[in-house]
Amino acid sequence: MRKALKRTAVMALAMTLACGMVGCGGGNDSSGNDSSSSSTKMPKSEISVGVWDGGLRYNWAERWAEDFEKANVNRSFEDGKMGVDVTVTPSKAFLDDKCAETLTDYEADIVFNEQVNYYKFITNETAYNIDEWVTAPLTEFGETKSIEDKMSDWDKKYYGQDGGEYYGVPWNNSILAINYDIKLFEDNNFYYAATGEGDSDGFVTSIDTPRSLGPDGKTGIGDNGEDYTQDDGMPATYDDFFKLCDKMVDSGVTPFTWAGGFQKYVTQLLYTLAADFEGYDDMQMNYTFDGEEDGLISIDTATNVITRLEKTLINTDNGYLLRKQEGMYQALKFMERVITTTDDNNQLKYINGSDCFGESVSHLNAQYKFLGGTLPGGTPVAMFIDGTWWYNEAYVAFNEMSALPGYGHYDRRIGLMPMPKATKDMVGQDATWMSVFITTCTVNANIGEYSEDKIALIREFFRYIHTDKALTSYLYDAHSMRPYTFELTDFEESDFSTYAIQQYNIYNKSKVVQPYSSHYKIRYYLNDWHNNFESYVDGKGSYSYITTAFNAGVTAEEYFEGMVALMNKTKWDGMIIGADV
Amino acid sequence: MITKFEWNDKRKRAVKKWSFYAALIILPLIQWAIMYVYVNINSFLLAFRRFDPASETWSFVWFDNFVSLFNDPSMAGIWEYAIWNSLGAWGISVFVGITLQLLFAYYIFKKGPAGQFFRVVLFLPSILSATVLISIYKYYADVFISKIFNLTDSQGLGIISNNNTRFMSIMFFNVYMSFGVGVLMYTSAMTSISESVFDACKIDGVNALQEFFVIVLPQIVPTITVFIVTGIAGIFTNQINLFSFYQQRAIPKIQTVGYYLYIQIYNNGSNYQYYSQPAALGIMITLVTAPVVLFARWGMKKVNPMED
Repeated sequence: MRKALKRTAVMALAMTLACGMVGCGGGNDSSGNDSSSSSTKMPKSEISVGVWDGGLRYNWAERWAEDFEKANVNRSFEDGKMGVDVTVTPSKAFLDDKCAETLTDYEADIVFNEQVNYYKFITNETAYNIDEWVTAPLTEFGETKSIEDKMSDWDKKYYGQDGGEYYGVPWNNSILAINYDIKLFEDNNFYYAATGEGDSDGFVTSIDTPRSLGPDGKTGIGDNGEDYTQDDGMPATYDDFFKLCDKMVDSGVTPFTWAGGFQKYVTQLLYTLAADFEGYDDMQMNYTFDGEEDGLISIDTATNVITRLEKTLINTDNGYLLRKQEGMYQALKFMERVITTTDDNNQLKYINGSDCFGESVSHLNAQYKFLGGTLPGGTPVAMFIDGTWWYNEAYVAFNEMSALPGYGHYDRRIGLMPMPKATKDMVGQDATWMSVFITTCTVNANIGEYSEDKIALIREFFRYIHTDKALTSYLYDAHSMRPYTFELTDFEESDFSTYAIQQYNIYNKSKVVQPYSSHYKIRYYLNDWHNNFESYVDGKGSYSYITTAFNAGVTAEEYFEGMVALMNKTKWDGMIIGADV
Repeated sequence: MITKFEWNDKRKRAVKKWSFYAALIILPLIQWAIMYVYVNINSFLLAFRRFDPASETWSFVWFDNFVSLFNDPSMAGIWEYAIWNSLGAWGISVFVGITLQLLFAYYIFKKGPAGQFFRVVLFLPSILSATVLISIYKYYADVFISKIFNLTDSQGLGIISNNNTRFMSIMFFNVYMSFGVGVLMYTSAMTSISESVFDACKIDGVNALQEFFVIVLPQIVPTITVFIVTGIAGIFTNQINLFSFYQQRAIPKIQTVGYYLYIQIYNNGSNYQYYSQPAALGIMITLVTAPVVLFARWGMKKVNPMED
């Protein structure tokens, strides 16, 4: 009896194991390989792709992998092998400077990493020299341009080490933005009407009412095909913006939300606001410390009197003075109004305090509140502050709502609000956007030990993922923009989510400031300068985020001067290298 | 006279014996040498050196890093909040934490109703993942408890989100977390007191309160001393679980020195140019704390009746 029981148990276990093994096999067939005997029997060449496991996810890399595998199913790249197997592995290891030191510890051949000092890959010799891969025209894919040709001048200079060689290329354009619900705007007439149209407050009365020109002061299609319609009807000035917020409140719509547990996002929006105020050259000066600045100010916090400083020649010795740029003050002033304006009952008017300051509200919760606000029983929210990666990150929320028409990932209409201008006389100036951190695509130095054939294969895949076709599919899958100039191929414009196509238009129409340069203060002391919003206010304490400061009664003027005080000459001079040590 | 055979046998046994000892302690010794001796020597040297990120070389700067602690405006938060928060956290741990631990330990020791249940419940935090517990507590306290007990502020913020109640809410969690080990240790110490002493108490008609203060407490002073002295030693390294609560985002108002030091290294990873200042701060803290620890140890010995 016991023997029989044992046998039965062993049989059951064996069958379970067999089922598991069947489940493990045959996975590669999903790529659509044909079943010719030669390709199924021969092993495949392998490429490993590592992706920072963050908001952008890695579904886009899986499509690249699948397309590349399909296109090369009957090609032999290495002796005795047929076809390619591209593995995509997300990992938390591909974040921050540690990645530049440990990259060679990982099997990934190509790595998409975030917030890593690119030059550290070079000094640590963990990245492979891909100069030829980047500079040679992509002729094998029927294109005439090289990867370098598609990059912005700024990125060419930075990644090409000012005329040196490439060890990486940019990955994603990561902008902190005010995202808005287009349908909610349309349904509630939240657009400004063209002059002489609309209601007495200047808002449209229906979806057909002609809209105002928006902050760029233009509409229609420009001489070079630029689409100026994207911002039509949007508030042109800060005052217009808050008038719109008041209308939202009157309509029962909460103007803003963001993740209470991630106060950094709302603070980082200061960059987007400041960049638009300063313009490309002045904002980019924050990373070159070279140029002439005539927009520096000083504020007397007792009287709030603003003094404009004389035009200053900025160089490495006095770069810290850029903390006094008026753009940052105007951005603080704007956010102060968003965060602290109260209604007649002394309640926050434009935000829900428990959502926007509640520690237990994660970024995913906030995305859900924004996307699901218009569902029955929800509280509609018009605008949401988060980085452009959020749209792909929120796939679970989109999937849950996708059964409802207009709520799916591709048919939901969410846009990036163009920054309103601080004053009326600035309306019409070109929009400037800003990326909040660096993201890079590097190739692991380990591949230097591979055979020439394998290196050639990785080169081909690397170049493939920078073709217009792959850049387009990235825009489609990630709903985010890679910072390259490319034509949309394979997809119709209507296939993309509105969010993706707006980013495409923004990148092609506007200038985007990148928060990196080869200047030594940026290369070695980035944490002191960039993404550092610390402020110290005498008698009111230290703050890292504007939200806590404004909540504690700190004014925009005090916060601004507190930021200036923390980056003084002593601090700046301490950020030294080489002979200065 | 020892024969050659006997001598060889003795030597073999000695080698065997020492090999066993060596095998037993070699790994812990190596670990101690790397993780304690090397780390501390390196930290000490870091305080007097500066890293040049361009050439990746170190140079001696003597006391510059110490001077920068006072000149650097970004250190304002440390002087204004972190030091006081660290001291406050220690005070709460000692006066509230240890007091409650002693009372609960005595209750369990005296086999009060549901004593074993309390023992398990209070020890539970020590065996569960702190991250999991904190996630639960964060939500539970911030949303659930705050609403039920009407602790939300005018903006609807719960006790973990409200700037005025954050610190105390976190300290409540820390005190609860410390219960497991504390109660276990004190109960064990109480168990070692001779039964005859309690029998004598009974005969003399001593009540529970008297028994606790006059009999139990003096007998377990050595255990309490360990907690107090190690607590003082850790005043400025204790980050009161702030990282688990807020990751790098804890507001300056609730930061402790331990959290500040941890975050400096965590945020800067391999950017060694940022290591020297925290190292200098570490030495300053040691200079302040070490004499206090020695004094506390001496003081506790003085008040320990068992020393007589």
